[in-house]
Amino acid sequence: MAKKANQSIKLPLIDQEALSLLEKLSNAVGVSGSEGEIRTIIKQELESCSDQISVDTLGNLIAVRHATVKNAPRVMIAAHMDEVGFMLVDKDEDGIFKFQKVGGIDDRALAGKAVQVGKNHAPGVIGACPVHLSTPAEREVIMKSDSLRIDTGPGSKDLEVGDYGSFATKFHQLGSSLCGKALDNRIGVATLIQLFKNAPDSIELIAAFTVQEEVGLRGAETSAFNLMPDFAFVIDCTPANDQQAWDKSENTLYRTRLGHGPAIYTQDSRTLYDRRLIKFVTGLAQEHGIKVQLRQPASGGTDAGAIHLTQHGIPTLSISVPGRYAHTAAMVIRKSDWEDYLQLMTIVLQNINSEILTEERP
Amino acid sequence: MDEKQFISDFLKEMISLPGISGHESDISKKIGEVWQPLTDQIQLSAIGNLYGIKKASAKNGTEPARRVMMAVHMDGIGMVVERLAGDVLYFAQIGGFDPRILPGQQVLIHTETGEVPGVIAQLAPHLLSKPFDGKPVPLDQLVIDTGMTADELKEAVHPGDIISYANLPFELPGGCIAGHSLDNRASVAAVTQCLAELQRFNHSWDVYAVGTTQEETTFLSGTTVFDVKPDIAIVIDVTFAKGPGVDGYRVKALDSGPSIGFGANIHPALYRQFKALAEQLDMPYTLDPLPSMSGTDAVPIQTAFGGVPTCVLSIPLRYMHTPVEVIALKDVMRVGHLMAEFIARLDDSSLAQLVWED
Repeated sequence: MAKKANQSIKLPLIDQEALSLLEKLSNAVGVSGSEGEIRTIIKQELESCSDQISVDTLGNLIAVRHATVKNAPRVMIAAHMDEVGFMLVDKDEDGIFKFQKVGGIDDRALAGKAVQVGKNHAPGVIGACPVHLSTPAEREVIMKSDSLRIDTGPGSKDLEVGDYGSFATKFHQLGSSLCGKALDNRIGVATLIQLFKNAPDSIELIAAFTVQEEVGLRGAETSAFNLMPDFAFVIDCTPANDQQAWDKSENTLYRTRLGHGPAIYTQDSRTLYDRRLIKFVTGLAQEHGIKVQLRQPASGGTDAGAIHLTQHGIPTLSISVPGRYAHTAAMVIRKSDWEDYLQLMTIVLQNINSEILTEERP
Repeated sequence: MDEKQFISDFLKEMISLPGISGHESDISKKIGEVWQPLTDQIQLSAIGNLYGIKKASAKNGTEPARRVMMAVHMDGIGMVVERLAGDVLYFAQIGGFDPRILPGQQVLIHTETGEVPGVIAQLAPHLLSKPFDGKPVPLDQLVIDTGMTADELKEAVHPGDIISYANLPFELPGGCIAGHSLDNRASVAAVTQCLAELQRFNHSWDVYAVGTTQEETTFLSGTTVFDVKPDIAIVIDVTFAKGPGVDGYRVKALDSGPSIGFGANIHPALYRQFKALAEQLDMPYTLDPLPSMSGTDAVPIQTAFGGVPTCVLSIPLRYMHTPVEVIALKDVMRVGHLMAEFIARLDDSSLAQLVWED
């Protein structure tokens, strides 16, 4: 039985400070395998309020805040730092490079975009053949990444094969929403930074900012093994395919919907989620009047896929911010969903306790 | 200020503005402001053509002075709102472009009450007329997401609202500029450079710098000939630069200088004169074979008002009709300089030299 929430707790709002942090994180580049910029920002944010902060063999950043009570539950929250992007793999002449995608990017999202490459975020473009020089039949074919190039300008220097790149989209507000290139999963990173800064004393909080999620949940696998928490929460982004269908037929396969609050997973390709944790979280949401939605069971996965199988097994739950157009130059999330998400997770951390696991499994 | 810096700043300012075919007032206003101190008079025609008139500064006998016109189209490609569908909207195109470059682009919707930012998106397969697995999603099934709710969108945006690209320009190493609408704002910059240089030259012909409208759609620049009645017309546009996936005789390297057109659209004497002048100035240039029609304002201008001796100068540009077009600033300056040198040499015998060498 969950203890009653402390009704006096002040729930966080998405203020200018929160937006500025997300902007900084979204504009930074941290392609899978090269997450250094993101690690640096998180270190700056958390160094002064961590009891321990360290980087492990794979590059996961682990920050710990101790409980002030004995036998407090060890709660791990994982948010992956990495984003999908590109690696320069061959140099043509005149600052033009062949590239490969890192992580899952639809080839149809590439052509005609501004990009940034290398440590200094050198500008570049992924161009496309002028429409005047292609045939209608050619325009029926997808422009694949191996036929496209990154053009960094004829005078470009200091860029080499092996350098990473990303779309160059700058974070901005869009109507009631937020738009950026890497909101998957800097929204999770920004949320975890905030949760960590305001962590309750009743739990041992382990924040795991993981690497290489987009290329196979690798950072999650090693960090969970090394940390072995009692519970794990994974905070990430998940698709909202909730727009009106072209033929106006009923859209029943939306997965999640914008404006309906944090999305709680029941199952995905890798994980059948712990029903006791789902019940605990949805119960708290109801009690506190916070909007939540259950993500329709569907393919996809999060760091939970690796974490819940660690050692003897770890009870794990994924809760994601719904978002549109992940892994493109311009992802969109609704601001109100982020606020609901931050508030829900704040309440979850205030209330989590080991008794949840003594309940019988459904 | 350094002339090159001035042109670079002006060009970047121009490609930060909208100016979709048929909706050129923002860009036309900006160009008029910059041309105003470089000319004697600025005029706007009923249909939207912009005229910057610089009267002859030397008298060489012919009264009234002969007229040379430099025509550049101010408009660019864009889109228009077709219908709203819940919290997204469908759109149609203005001008020709490849829809495969669209998903992920940032745009601005120009509404009666202001600009609404949005992004172009490709919906999940189950929301399309068919899944289009392994194929590009056609333009009529791409959407724009404004981040608004359905109610907010309905209030703010209406069918017919014009849509432009929102991406801002940036520089690439090697003296290049990247952005949308460099076709044809790069040529507007070249004409501006020409006007700046003409401040230092004496010229005995009247000079008409002309910003045309709707080149990308209706080709209505023949109307400028009725207004100006030029004796010679120089059309400045962009041509295909050599780059990834684009090679062969039709393309010119970036930074290879003006590309001087020849073919049915172009008066052969003007072509020969520009080529000889580039040689004389020791300026790099390329030749641009345009066998039947140039695809520029030279098409309507050549045949308007009984016919005008017309020529075409082009600036090499990569990735034409995408929002990440690339030009070399040096080519812009060279085209401007070549035209200024040409105009300064025009005198009362120039027309007689436009002969057919049969």
